[in-house]
Amino acid sequence: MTRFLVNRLLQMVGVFLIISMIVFMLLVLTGDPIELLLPPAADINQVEALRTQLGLDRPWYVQYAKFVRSALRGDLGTSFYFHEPAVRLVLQRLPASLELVVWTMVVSTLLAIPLGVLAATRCGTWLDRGVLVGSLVGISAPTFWIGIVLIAFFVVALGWLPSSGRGGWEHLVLPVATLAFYRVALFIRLIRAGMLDVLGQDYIRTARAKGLFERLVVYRHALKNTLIPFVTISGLQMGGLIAFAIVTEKIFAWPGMGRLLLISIERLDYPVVVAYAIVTAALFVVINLTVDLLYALIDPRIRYE
Amino acid sequence: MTRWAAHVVIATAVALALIAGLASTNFAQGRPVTIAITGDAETMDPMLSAISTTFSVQRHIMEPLVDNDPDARVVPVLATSWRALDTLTWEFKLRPGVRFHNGEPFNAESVKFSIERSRDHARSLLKAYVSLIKEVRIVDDLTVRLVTSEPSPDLVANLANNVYMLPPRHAREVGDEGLARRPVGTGPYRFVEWVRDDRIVLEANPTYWGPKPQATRVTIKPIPEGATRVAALLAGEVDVIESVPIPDIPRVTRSGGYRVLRKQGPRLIFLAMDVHRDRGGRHPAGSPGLPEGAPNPFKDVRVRQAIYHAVNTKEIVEQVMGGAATPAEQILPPFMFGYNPKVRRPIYDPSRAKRLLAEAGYPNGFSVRLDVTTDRYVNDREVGLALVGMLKRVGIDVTLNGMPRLIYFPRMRAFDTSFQMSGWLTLISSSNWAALLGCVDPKTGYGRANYGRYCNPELDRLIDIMRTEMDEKKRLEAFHKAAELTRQDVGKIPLYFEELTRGVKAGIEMPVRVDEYVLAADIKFR
Repeated sequence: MTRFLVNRLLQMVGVFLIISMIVFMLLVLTGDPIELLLPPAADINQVEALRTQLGLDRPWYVQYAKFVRSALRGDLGTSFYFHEPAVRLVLQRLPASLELVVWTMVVSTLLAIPLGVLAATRCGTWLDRGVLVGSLVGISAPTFWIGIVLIAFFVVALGWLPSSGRGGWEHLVLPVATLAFYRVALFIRLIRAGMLDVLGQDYIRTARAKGLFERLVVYRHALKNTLIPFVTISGLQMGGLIAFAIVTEKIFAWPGMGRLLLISIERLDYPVVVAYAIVTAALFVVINLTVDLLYALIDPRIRYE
Repeated sequence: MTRWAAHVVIATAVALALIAGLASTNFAQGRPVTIAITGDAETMDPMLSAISTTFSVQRHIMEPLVDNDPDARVVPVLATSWRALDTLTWEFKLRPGVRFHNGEPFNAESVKFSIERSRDHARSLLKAYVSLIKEVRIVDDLTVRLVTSEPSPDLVANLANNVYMLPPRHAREVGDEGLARRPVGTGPYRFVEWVRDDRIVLEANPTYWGPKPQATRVTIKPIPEGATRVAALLAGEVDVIESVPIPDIPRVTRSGGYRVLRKQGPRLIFLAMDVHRDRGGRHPAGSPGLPEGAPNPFKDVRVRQAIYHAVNTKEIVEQVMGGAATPAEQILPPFMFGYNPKVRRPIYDPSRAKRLLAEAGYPNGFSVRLDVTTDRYVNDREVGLALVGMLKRVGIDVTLNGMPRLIYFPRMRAFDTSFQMSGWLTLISSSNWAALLGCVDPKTGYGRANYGRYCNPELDRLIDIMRTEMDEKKRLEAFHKAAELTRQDVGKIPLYFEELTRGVKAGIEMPVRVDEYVLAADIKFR
C-alpha cells in the first residue's frame, strides 16, 4: 500500500513537469500579453522594453528553464496582471469551484440513481423509454444554451432566482442545475446499463428465489455491483467539472477557477495558466487515487500491494 | 402508490427541494446602487494595471489631477488650474483643503510621489503617460511644476489618463501589497470590501471635497457574460450595466422600465494594407496575403482609393452593426482635438472603384487575404464577411481569415499580413496619429499599430509637430493637414467608430463617458 502511494507521488511529479512544459510551449508560441498589458499610448520602444523586462523576448525553452528553476524553489511565478503569486490566485478560487462541483455531483447522483434503477427495472416500458429520451436531451444540449434558457426562465420571467454571483443556496441552484443536466443524463444511462447487466445474473435469480424483498434485491445486491464503472466515471466527471466548468462559471459570473482560467488564457497570463494546469493535474491525481482506493472498498477482489 | 411512482417522487423531491422556499425571497435591490461591469479589477494599485475596467473601479476611490469629461475634454479635478511657464515647464495649482480617506492631506508632496511612482516603479504600466516628466518640482504646498525632457503639449491630456493621486505616507507604510488590496484616495467613495470576481463594495465619502454623489452605497459586480448582465438588469438585480450586446438592445428598450444609453465612442475600426513589400509570397520577405510572386497592388495609391470607394460603411453600420456605430470620416472622432471638419470620407461608388483599379492596371481585380479578429471587436467577423461581399463587387477576390485575438495581434506586430482590419483607441489625439500612421521606427517610437508599415516622411513631420509644438494654433494646423494628407494618400481606411452602450433602470440618469468608465458618482436619480 505504501509503495503504491509513493509510486503515485513520483508519477505526479512527472505529470507536473510534462504538463507545465506543454502548456508553457503552447502559450509562448501563441504570442505574448504585451499588447493587452500596456496602454495604447505606449510606443514601440516601451513595448520592447517591457518584453525584455518580463523575459518574453527569449525562446520558450529558455523561459521554461527559468520557470522550472524558480518552481524548484517553490515559486510558480507571478501573474502579469494581478501581480500576485499565480498559485495563490488559483487556490483562492478553488473553494468556489469545489462548492459548485460537490453540489453538482450530489444532486446528479441523487437524481440519477433512482431514475436509472427505475429505468432498468422497468426496462422496455414507456417509463424506461421516457427516461432514456430525457437523458438523450440532457447529453446533447449544450451547457451554454441550458444556462441561458434557465436564466431566461427562472430569473427574467419568474424572478425566483438570482442571475449570477455566489452567496446562499439560491445562487447555487441555476449553475448546479446547468452542470447537473449532462451528468444526470450520463449517470442514468450508466446505471441503467449496469443494472440490466447485473439483473440477468444468476445470483440475482438466487436472491429472488430466496424470497427477498424486491427492493433489497435491487438496491443491495444489484446496484452495489454496478457501482464500479459508476465510481470511475464519477471521478472523471468530478475532475472535469473542477477544471472545466468554465462556460458555466462565466455565464453565472461564478467566482471560481474556470473564470480565472478563461480570462488568463484570453490575456496570455502564462504564470496563471501554468499554475492552473498544475493545480488541476494535482486534483486529478488525488481524485484518481481516491477512485482507486474506493474500488478496493467496493470490490473486495481488488487489492493494492 | 406503486413502487415506480415512489422513485419518481424521490427524484423530483430532490429537484424541488432545491427551489422550494426560494420564491418568497426577494432579490430586487433598489438603492444602494448596483453596477454590473464586464470584468473584475486585477488590483487596486492604480499604477500596476492599464485595463479600463480596472481604472473604472479605481476611479470611484482615487482621483487624477485632471480628467476627461464625458466628451473627452480635459477638466480640473485635484488640480484647479495649469499653464505652461515655458516649453518645458508646466505649473499646476492644486485644490486646497482636500484630504485622503485616511486623513492625510492632499498636497504637492502627494503629486510628486504619485507621478514618480508611475514613472519609476519597476512594474508600472503607466510609464507611457509620464515618461517625458524629468522632474516634479514642489514650489509650495499647493503648487507643483512638471519639467519635461522635451516640449510636451499633451502632458495634461496624458495625466488625465489615470495617473491617480496616492497618499505618500500610507503608501510607504502598507507597501505594494497593501496598495493592491486596500485602496485609499481622495475620491467620492471609500473602499469597503472586495470579494474577488464577485463584488466590490464602496460607500460615499462623507468628507468629499466635491458634489456629494446621490448613490450612497455602491456594489460593483463583474458579470462577464453579456446575456447574464442583461438578465440581471431585467430581473431588477442591478441598476446599471456596462455594454449591452447589440442583439439585446431591442429587448431592453422594449421591456419598459429600462433604457439603453448610447454614445459614439472613440474606438476606430479601420482597414490597413501592406504598402511596404513589393511582392506576394512567404512572410517575412513576401507579403503573405498575396499570391506568390504577384506584385503588391496596395503600393499604388489608386488601388487604396478604389477600396475606399468600394466600401459602403453606411450599410455595414446599419446591416451588420445594428446601428450601433458611426461611419468614420477620418481617424479621429469629431469630439477629439485635431478633428478636421473639412475632411469627409469618399462617397461609396463601386464604378469609380472599378475605374481606379483599371487605371492602376487591375481591370480584373486581384486576390488577397483579409485578416480579421473574431473575438476582439463588436461583430468583427461579420463585418469582415460584409467587406468580402463589397470588394467582390469591384472585382477584388478576398479570402477572409478570421483569427482569435491571441493569434491575430502577435502576427500583426510581426507584420505577417497584407490586408487587415483592426481597431484603435486612445483619448490622446497625437498618440493615435503616431501609433496608426507614423513610420515604424525605434528612433521616434511611432507605428505601434501601423501593421501595414505605411510610411510618409511628410506625415511624420506633422506628427512631430503634433507631439511637440506648444503653440496650439500651429498644432491644430498640423492635425488638419495630416487628415487631408491621409485622406488623399489613403494610409489607412477608417471604417466606423463603435458605439458605447449602458443599460439603466428607468429613473437613472448618467452620461456615457468616452473613456468607457461607469462611475456611480455620475448617477442622478429622477
